[in-house]
Amino acid sequence: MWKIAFRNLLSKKTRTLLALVGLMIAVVGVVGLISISDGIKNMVNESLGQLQGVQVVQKDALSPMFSKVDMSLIDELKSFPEVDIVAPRVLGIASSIDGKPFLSGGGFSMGSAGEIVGIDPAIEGASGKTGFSSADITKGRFLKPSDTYSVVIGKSIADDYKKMVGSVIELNDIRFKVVGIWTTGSSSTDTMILMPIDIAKKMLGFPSDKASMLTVYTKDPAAAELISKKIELRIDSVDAKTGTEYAQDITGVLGSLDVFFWAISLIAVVVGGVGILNTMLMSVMERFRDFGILKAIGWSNGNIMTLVVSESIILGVVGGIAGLAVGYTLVEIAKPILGFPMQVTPTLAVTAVLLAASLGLVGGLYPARKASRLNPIEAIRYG
Amino acid sequence: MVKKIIEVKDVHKYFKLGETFVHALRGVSMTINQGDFVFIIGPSGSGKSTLLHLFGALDTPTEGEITFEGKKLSEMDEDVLSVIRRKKIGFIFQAFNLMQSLTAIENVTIPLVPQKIDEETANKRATKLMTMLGLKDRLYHTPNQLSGGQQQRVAIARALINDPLIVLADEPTGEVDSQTGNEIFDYLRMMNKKFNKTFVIVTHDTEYIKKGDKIFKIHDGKIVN
Repeated sequence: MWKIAFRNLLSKKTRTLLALVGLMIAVVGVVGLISISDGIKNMVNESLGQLQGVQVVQKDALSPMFSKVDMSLIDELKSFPEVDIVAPRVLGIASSIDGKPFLSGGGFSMGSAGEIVGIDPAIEGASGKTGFSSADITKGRFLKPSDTYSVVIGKSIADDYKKMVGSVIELNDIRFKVVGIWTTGSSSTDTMILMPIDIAKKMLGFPSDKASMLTVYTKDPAAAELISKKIELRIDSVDAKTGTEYAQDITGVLGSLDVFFWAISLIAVVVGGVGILNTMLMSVMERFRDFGILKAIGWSNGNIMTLVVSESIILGVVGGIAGLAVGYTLVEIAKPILGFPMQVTPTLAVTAVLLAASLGLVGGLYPARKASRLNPIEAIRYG
Repeated sequence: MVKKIIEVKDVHKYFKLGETFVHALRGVSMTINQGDFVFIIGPSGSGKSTLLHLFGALDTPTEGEITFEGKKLSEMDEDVLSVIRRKKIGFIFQAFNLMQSLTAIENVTIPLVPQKIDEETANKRATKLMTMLGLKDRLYHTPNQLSGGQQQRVAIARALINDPLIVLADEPTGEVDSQTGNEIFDYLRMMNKKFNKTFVIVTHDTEYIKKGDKIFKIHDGKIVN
């Protein structure tokens, strides 16, 4: 049956090819859009999932970047028996690097914006804790309590601005010495520039008795989630979350982005489905006589339905695989150009092909039914 | 004892053609026995093709009864009828009606597809039949690479591949010249003699009827001889 279905499709090459192209475009659309959403989700999980400890920020702050908490909370947080250390951090964006304003460096490249992270080297550096479980100093050293205008720059900043240990980097027109280069393990957070918290406050105009956030390291890392709940219960003015909780929050927001992308994809899918329906209907109408003969020589209605549906499923599967291949290639080409996180996950790949196959099935059902219901005498005589 | 294959009793068939009713068959009765080589002749529009379609369970009579191997066709549902067409009946059409996208041997084996007979067995059976019909070197040609006579022989092989009880042929020489037509009848006669197959052949061409055992003349929907 499959062999005959293949032959039938190959006998009208142009029409088959056009149907495949229609379907491929739909699949490429789905793969392209969903890969963006999957890529963002993956990036969020990759970077936030590695955050160490509990992040304590101002209640309902849009992001840690816009949060201000009292430094006096440090002592209160330390009073929890499970807490090991509490590290204040100040966050901001470098409005210029080496005299180049923010966003001008690499066009769309996300690597061009430097994220200032002011830390207290007496707390974090000394304890060996850096905020990210997978962080690693690749060159040079971490900050020391005696450092002043020294920075540890993220790998992306080092690459984008061609810096190495010992180089001078100008942030907001202030000269800093690069003492180390680090990676957090995620390209999206490798734009972080670590500097002593007092210098960061001065540079960003941040009040000296406040911090953007307080990172609470627990003695037992597994206790982090429990502590975050305890903190929120005891201190009303803050939100306390672990990296995993952050990731979940953001993924939740991205869920609505997913719905939007799938809605757009659905249009492409419907167009692809109508294309298959049209192709199969044309193909069935051209072959009325053939179906009449098949019925006369003993094919049942079910046999004829199976043949037509097999043809459209083949169209669906081949269109799906081809669309996936083209979509994947385009995503791989677009990724470095757009500098956008796009990812074709195995789930997306399987979904795309299954979607195309089911389009084939659905698009073939009506034409198949039409073919199977033919009166053989009329089909042979007038087909 | 002679085995009755088809028995037709007082069959009438009406068609609605636009606003008018056509009385295509008017009380036809006849019997086809195993091994018969039967001709049904008559002018165009006399009802001979209609009768053949009734034999082939492709259509049902408006009145009267047709029995196939003693069982009433009117009491069978569409699925049973398709099994009878598949296993007991072979069809040969005037216009060959081969599938253009398939090779000759694939056209011959196509009735076996619903029976899920494996390809090797099917091809062996088809090759044997096609060799008998002089098509040994045409197995893998497509219909458009074959002459009219060759195409009709492929159609004959297709009709015989299921080893049917009866072969129904509707104007099998209608689209070939008289020499090829004679050859085709010789092949049909050979299959009839060699395998005791029953043939019912509809034609309006009286040139070939001397080759038949039984001849039914039909005129205005009635058997007249």
